[in-house]
Amino acid sequence: MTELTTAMADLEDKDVMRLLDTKLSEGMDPFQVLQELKDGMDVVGDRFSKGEYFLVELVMSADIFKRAMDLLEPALLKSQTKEEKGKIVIGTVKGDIHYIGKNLVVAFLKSNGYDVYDLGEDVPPERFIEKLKETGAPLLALSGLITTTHDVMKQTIEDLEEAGLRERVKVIIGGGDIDQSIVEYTGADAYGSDAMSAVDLARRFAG
Amino acid sequence: MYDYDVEQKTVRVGSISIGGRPGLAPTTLIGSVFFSKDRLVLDPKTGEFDKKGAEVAIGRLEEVSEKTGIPSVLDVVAETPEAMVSYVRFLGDSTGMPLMIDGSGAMEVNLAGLKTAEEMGIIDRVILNSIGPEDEADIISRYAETGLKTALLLAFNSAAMASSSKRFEIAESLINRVSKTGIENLMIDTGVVDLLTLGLACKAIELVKHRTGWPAGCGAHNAVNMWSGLVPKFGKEAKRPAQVGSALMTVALGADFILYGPIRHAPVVFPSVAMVDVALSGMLLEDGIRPDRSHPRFKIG
Repeated sequence: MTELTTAMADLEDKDVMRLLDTKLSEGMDPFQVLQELKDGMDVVGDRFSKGEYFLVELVMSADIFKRAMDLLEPALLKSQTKEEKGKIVIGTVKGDIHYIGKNLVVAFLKSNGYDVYDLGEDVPPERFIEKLKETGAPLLALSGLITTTHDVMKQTIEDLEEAGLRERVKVIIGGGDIDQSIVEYTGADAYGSDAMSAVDLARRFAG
Repeated sequence: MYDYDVEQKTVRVGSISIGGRPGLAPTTLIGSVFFSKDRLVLDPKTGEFDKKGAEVAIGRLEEVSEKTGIPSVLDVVAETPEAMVSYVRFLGDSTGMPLMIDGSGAMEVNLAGLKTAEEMGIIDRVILNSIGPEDEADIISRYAETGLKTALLLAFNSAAMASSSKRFEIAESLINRVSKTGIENLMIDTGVVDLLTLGLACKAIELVKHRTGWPAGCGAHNAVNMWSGLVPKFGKEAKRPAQVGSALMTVALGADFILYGPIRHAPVVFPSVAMVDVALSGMLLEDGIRPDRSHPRFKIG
């Protein structure tokens, strides 16, 4: 592991920012820097899966990664060598304001190179549809913690169909007690039980 | 210990008092009922439930509260406005315990519960669970317009997850915002999402009590619910002691109230919390300070 990867994995935020600054000022390829950060995030995810890290540490990693990306993104945008990965629209559905799990998914998707359009919380179906049309994203991720959101997810997917988008847009769902039975109830394509599994689903559906 | 910088406030809700100096004021225990996987719930959307089963469960809860001297509050969880109305109508008539209206952040569900309580003339023994930093002023005003007197303030958001001082900052801001609306009585929930944040929540409880005096506590049981390695690594028998332990740690660190999870845990949690409350009252013994006669100190021996 590089020093930056280790710092990211160990949640040493000051070291991450210092190393990031040094590497960028030394002219290191920003995509190599991103890869080191991503490797660190992978270690965080692995430690969480093994029970070595708790949820709060997963959230801390997402926060560090977000701050690191704020520094890194201008350099990434200047580069012409960006690896094209899929676009994903995500949000917590209408009637629910929970965000912790959704924000983790956003961070892990971004760390894996996806273009993520986070619409926030309490998002009505029409806003998802609008953003899917605007971006051409092939994947929609719906989050909801409370069980009433299952009906809202179902409605959102029905609205996608009505808008003629369902054939080209896959839908993944997650949050709370969502399982395969909710996938079947809502008409989604798959569910993710944590932020890491959301990345696996993105690979499957958004390339 | 437990010498705070400001006078401790006591909130009166129905027949119970919440908050004060540990050792003098017993800890209030808040248990959940009608949550999404509660066996009592037959239809979470309409609010149909097993009435007989609910009466038995409430009876057991009242009994253990009476025997221990630990004040009890029911956290009434509902998914829809219709379900909340059904639950509040039933509980408002069948028990004198204070009721927490818990729509899991859904304003319409919360409003349905508050309005029903107002119609039933029981708004004085209702607590809203909860008002958080994301709630806009107009939403808080709508809650206040129902005649609501007591609210649980959620001193927590994503940015404060790894910080006790940020939890306190949110608490201060919410206290300032909500106290202007006519909601007189405040309780501060310092937010627990896993084992590590239980520690931070306890630190924040101390900060809130030191600097504001308002009653403070947290959902200690969340720490155990999120402990994924508990049963796989240590077996089912490790679960109950962990649930009780999470509450006891928090009480020992000065919490005024604890959300302990489903009310079926009450027979296990109440006596142990009463035990710690009695021990805390013992810390005041040599100073000649005694709690009043309703304290567990005079009940569980």
